[in-house]
Parts: sequence; structure tokens; C-alpha cells
Amino acid sequence: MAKYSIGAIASVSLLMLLAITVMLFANALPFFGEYSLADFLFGNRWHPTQEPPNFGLLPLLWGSLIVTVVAMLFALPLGISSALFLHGVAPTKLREILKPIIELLGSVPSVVYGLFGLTLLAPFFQRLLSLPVGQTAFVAGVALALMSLPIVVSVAEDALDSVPKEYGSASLALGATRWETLMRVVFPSARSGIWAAVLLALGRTIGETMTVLMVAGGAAQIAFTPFKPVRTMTAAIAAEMGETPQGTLHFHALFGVGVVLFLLTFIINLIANKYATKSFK
Amino acid sequence: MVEKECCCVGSEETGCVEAVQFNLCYGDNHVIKNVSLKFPRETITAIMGPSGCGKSTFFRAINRMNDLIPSVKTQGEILFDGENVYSNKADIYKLRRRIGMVFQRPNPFPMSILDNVAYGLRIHRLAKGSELEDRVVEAIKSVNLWDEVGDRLKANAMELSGGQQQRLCIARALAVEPEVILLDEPTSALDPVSSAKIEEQLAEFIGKYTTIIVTHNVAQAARVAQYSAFMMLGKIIDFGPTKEVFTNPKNELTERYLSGKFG
Amino acid sequence: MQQSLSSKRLLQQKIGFAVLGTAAGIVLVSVAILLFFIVRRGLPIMSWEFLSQPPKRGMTEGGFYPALVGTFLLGVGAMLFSLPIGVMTAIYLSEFASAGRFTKAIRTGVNTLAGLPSIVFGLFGFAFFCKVLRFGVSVLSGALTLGVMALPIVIVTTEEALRAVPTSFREASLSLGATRWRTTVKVVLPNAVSGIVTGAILSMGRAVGETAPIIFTAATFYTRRLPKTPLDEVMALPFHIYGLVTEGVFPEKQLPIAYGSALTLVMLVLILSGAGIYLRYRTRRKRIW
Ligand SMILES: Nc1ncnc2c1ncn2[C@@H]1O[C@H](COP(=O)(O)OP(=O)(O)OP(=O)(O)O)[C@@H](O)[C@H]1O
Ligand SMILES: [Mg+2]
Repeated sequence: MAKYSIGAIASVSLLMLLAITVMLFANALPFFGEYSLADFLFGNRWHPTQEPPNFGLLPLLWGSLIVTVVAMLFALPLGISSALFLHGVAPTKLREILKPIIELLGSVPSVVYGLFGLTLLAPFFQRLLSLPVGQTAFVAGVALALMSLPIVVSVAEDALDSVPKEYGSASLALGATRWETLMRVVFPSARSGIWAAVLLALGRTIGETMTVLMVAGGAAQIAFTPFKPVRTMTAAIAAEMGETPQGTLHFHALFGVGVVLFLLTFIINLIANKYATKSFK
Repeated sequence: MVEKECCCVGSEETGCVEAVQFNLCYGDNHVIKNVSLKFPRETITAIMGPSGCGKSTFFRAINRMNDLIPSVKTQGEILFDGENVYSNKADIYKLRRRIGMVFQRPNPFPMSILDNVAYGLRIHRLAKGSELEDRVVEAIKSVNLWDEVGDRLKANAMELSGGQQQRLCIARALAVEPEVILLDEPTSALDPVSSAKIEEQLAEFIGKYTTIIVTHNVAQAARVAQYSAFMMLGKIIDFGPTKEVFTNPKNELTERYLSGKFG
Repeated sequence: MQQSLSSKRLLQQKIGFAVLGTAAGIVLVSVAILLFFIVRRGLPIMSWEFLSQPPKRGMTEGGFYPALVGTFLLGVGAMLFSLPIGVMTAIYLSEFASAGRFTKAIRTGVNTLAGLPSIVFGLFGFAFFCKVLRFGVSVLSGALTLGVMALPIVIVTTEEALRAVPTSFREASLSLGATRWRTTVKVVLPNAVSGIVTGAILSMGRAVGETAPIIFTAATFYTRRLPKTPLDEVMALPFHIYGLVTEGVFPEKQLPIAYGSALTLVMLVLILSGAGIYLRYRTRRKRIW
């Protein structure tokens, strides 16, 4: 039966997801055999090469968090405002040109943002804010904001676009201005789709590797300011995996970090998809 | 009889809508052709005519909702209380407050029942606080919806039935105290019971609002409207008191429409 | 009084629109700055030699030909994996699936895959393709890793194209006695070709630009030779850029090469994605039915 053979092929994605899960957990397991889960989750030092080594996740988690927060602080207001502009202010012609261009920019590879951040943004902000180092969480956040803007703009604009036109007509017919209609009716009606955009961008930002690897400076420390170098979970994996002999505790610890990353983005995306499907049929 | 209802510039009376040699084109498509029509005040006028003849377009011309369509061009005047709504001085936001509109398909906002009715009051800053709530309640009561939703004003309007939603939309339009109400096939998406409730509603408009209703339902027009107009290919071909128009149409096409030959 | 209220509200609208416009302007300008610098710094180094020669003298001179070839191989390889499986999955979801648990599971699986960080794919590819399947650090491992990552793009794009084919087409065929599979192959697929091509191009564009999944699975910093078998390791453009700026010893010579490589990579990806997005918009708009 065609249905079953095609169904079998269709299950490949599912099998791959399963394989990813199994591989991550299986390779992380030896680590948790030797290192306590509590020390991993709540340890505040990541010193994998010291004797004895410390595999505290908190500095990496902190790094991911602070970079993401900075990125979102820039990307969300700018991105959502731009989506509102495209949807409610820009003439149709302009929107039809800008929308695909923005989608297109979403495909610029992250290593390019890394290069840009490292060679231009970092020196620029170092001089501007007279910082001792250029590569900081802040600059990484700015580079990531730039990178996630296209997603925020295009998903948010899609959400605004899916709001039935009748709502707008009703508002205008009551004597509302276009601004009032946009902000009081269309924007709130697109809420769930906009949340989906926010969460998608959030997931992407937390999971982004190359940009932070190149720009964030790489120091695994908990600093309560964005103007210090940090090391994110993704950067730790990318930077340390190649230098770690297989089978060592450190090697497996990095898979442990991978598991955390996996679970974190999995949850964010689950919620994002809930929101995305909740918008108008 | 028609003349008696008229109002002139400078008079105290409000709610007068009059088209004077009004034309409208979508690009090259001439849709409204030289329409001159004075709607009697504070009564109900039905507009009928075959699909595509321009009824909705004419409606949108009255409260200038056509402004949003870039290809639209107009010529002639539509006078509201003696002032041309297309003049440069016209304040379209105020105009649209004074001319309420109800659409074919119920289109409440996806927010609470209260916020729906309060929307117009808020944007026009007509009331706030407890006065706002009083006026919302008043509007909901005036469409006889209070018994059904009075205990759940915070509920989302999308949870209401189609008929309830349409009455909510009427309440939303009435809340800002318009003088004219335009209803474009307000019952065509509703079941007979809900339609009947809306018709009852319309009866209460007489003496309060200048009401204009587009309908494809000849019987409905006969039931609710004191005046009737027939539109055909963008022209008003017949207009007068409903009884006269129905029993003694001036135009042969009207007669054929009424007897169900086309439309 | 009312007139002044309206003008107040119009002023508010003006200010609001100006704020939104400023935001959009900032976004456009920053993107323009990014592209401007990549082009300005990358363009001077572009030459035929740059594209066609291997790197020389510890990557301070010469070109990046092997990286270009490597990226091409990885991109095509990824597509060879993701396209057939992705299209079949989309066919299943759009033509055969009933609204059951299995279908829901597949959808959740696809959505989850789409949202996973690229470094997680890298870890997986290393553990699974390189180690378990013993492909080692190779073109094959890298292409498969990228292929798994690109799978959701193919599935989503193809399914959109399939769903856009009107049900009446299918009914017409089915009522003539054709089986579901025949209907799909003869009627549905031909009408969805451009959607499928779009998916293929977009997935390749994605695969070509990714770095994290290939760091441990396929890429090497420096090799003068091209891979002879799928089990050889390769240079790849994105990794080349990363290597040049982070491990380079002679930044003043290597930075321009990095920018040249970045410009090439950006052009490659923009052309691929541009073609994909163009096709998608065109098919969305110009439906003849
Ligand atoms: N936005 C528009 N742009 C261009 N042409 C339009 C637009 N809206 C309506 N038209 C055209 O104007 C003509 C009149 O349309 P209108 O909607 O006013 O008809 P109607 O009498 O309300 O019909 P119905 O009874 O079906 O609602 C039609 O020929 C239609 O094609
Ligand atoms: Mg109509």
C-alpha cells in the first residue's frame, strides 16, 4: 500500500529527532555518572581543564541569557515596530518590495554577522563606550539582534496580515484614525502571532552559535553587566569540542550542555507553535 | 409627502443625507452614475437592486470609507446636514462617528463585549470611568442584548452567536450616538430568528436615526422600511414611500425585480 | 471643539507613524551598513585567482577554491538527502495523512527539528554519523547533518505547494478511478513543481551558510587538495571565514581574505534564497486556477 510506504518515509524526520535525542542523552549520560547533576546545574564555575575540573553550567547559562536579553531588547521593539510600519503605514508598493527583501536578509549566514561584529561592531563600541575589551556580551547581543530582526519582522508582519480586514473596517467606520485602528485593533488581534514571532526569535537567539563564538569574548564568567566578555552554552560546545579528547569527562559534559540547550529550545518552540496555530485559521 | 421630511442648510434638524449628482469610479469602472437622492430624516429607507449594481459602494461613499481604496474617484456631492462630506474642510473622523455603519457579516473585535461597545466612546473621548460603563450598558440594552450578555460583559465577543454578534455591532455603532445608521445587508448572514430580532430593533430606530438599509430581501424591505429606493447599474431608478413603490412602481425594471424576474 | 479633537488625534497619528517609520529606517540602515561593509571590504580582493586557487602560505595568500568546492559538495549533498525524504513526507502529510496521532507526531517532529539550534545538529552529526556510523569527519557526515537540519524547510515549503493544488483536481482524477498515489504523481505533483523547487533551493541556501553543524563533522581549516571520496574531509566557506578571523596569525593579510570569502558566501546564499523566495512569491500570486 502506497500509504504505508510513504508513511514510513515520512517518519524519517521523527526518527531523526529520536536519534538526536538518543545521541545527546547517551553521550551525556557518562558525565552524569561521574559528576553530580546538582553541581552541574547550580555550579557557578566552568573550568573544564582545571584539576579537579569544574563543570558548573551557570556561567554558560548566564552568558546565553545576557546575550539573548540584549539581543531581544534591540530586536523586539525595532522588529515589531518595523512590522507595524510595513503593515499599517507603508504604501502597498513599498511593502511588496520590502517584505521579500527582509525575508531574504534572514538567510545571511550567522558567520557573516560574526565577522561583522568582530571586526566592526566590537571596535566601534569599545571606542564609543571606552571599554577595556571589545568582545562583550553587549556587542554579541547587538550582532544577534541584527540577525534576528528579519525573523521578527517577517513573522510579525505575517501575523498582522492574517488579522481579518473586517476588524479594520469596523474600526475605521466608527471614526478611528488609521493609527488607532492599527494600535488598538489590528495589533492586539495579532497578539498570538506576534508572540510566536517573539518566541521564534528567542529560540533562534539562544541557539545561535557562530556569532557569539566570534563576538562574545568567550570568558565563562558571571558578570552582572553586559559590557564584559561571556561564554554562551553554544559557544562552549563549539569552541571546546574540538580540543577535547573523546571519552573524557569534558567531552561528555559538553553533550550535557547540548541536552540543556535541546530542552530549552524544545520548550520555547513548543510554546511558539502553540501560539502560531492559535492565530486566525 | 417626501418633501415634508426635508431639511435645509442652517436648520436645527440633523441627520440629513443627500446625494447631489454623485458619481464614483473605480479606475475606469463607472459604478455610481449621477445619483441624486435625499434620504428622509429619522425614518428607514431600504435600498434594493441586483448584485453588483453599486449599493455597497454608495454606502461607503456616504461615510467616505472609499477613501481607503486608492483607485476611487468621485464627482458631485454628498451633503450631510447641508455640508459636502467631500469638501476639504470635512472632518471624516467626526463624520464617521455621526454616520454609523453595520456590515453584512458581524465583525466584532476579538476583545471583550464591554471593550467592543466602549471602543468608539474611547477613541472619541466621549466618556470614561463609570459614565463610560453606563453608556455601554445603555447601548447594549438598546439592542435588547442585555438579558443575554449582561452578566458576562468581560467575555470575549467572539463567543457570542452570529445574531448576538450582529446586535453587538449595532450597539457598538449606537454607543457613539450617531445621527445616521447605514446597514449593509445586516441580516443576510443570519438565521431567521436572529434576523427577526434585528428587524424588531430597526423598528425602534424610527424617529431617532436616519436609517438606510441595503437588503436583497424584498419582504424585509416591505416590513421595515417606510421608503424604498431601487438601484440598477449605478443609477437610482425608483424612489418613494415603500407602499407606493411596491404597489405602483414607476419603472418597469423595478416591477420585474419585485416579481423576482431577476436580481 | 470636535474639529480640534480630530486634529489632536491626527497629530498623534503623525507622531506614531513617525516613530514606526524611524524604527523601520533604523533596521534598514543597519542592514545596509552590514552589506555595505561586506561588499566594500570583500570586493577589492575578488579576482579570478581568488576563486580558482587554493590558499597559499598559511592562508595569507591565494584563494579559496577548495572551500568553494567543499561548500558546493556539502550543499548539494544535503539537498540530495533532504529533498526526496522531505518531498515524500510532505506528500504523506498533504495527500495521505489522516488526522491521527501518527500525523500529529510527525508534525511535532518537523516543528521541533526546525527549531533546534544548529550546534545541536553538530553534536548529533558527530556522535551519530561520524562515530556510530563510522563515516568519520567527512563530506558525507557533514552533508547528512546539514540534510537533517534542512529537512523541515523542504517539508514545509513542499506541503504549502501541494495544499495549494485545488481539491477539485484530485477529485476529478480519483473519480476516474485513479489511485491516490497515481493521482498524486500525475495530477498533484506536476502542479506543485515550482513549490518543490523552491523548497530545494531554500534548503540548499540554508545548508550552504551554516557553520556550526559542520565544525566537528566535515570541515577542516586547511587542505590544498579536494576531497576524492565522500569520506574525505573538506574545507567549507563559512568555516574558512571563521578560521581566518579567529585562528589567523596574520590578521592584516587574512582579514581581507575573510571578507572576500564572506562576500562570496553572502552572494551565494542570497542568490539561492533570492531565487527561492522569488519563486515562492510568484507561485503564490500567479495561480491560474
Ligand atoms: N474595491 C473595489 N475595487 C474595484 N471595483 C470594485 C470594488 N468594490 C466594488 N467594485 C465594483 O463595483 C461594482 C459595485 O460593487 P458593489 O459592491 O457596490 O455592489 P453591490 O450592489 O453592493 O452588490 P451586492 O449586492 O453583491 O453586495 C461591482 O462591479 C464591483 O466589481
Ligand atoms: Mg454589497
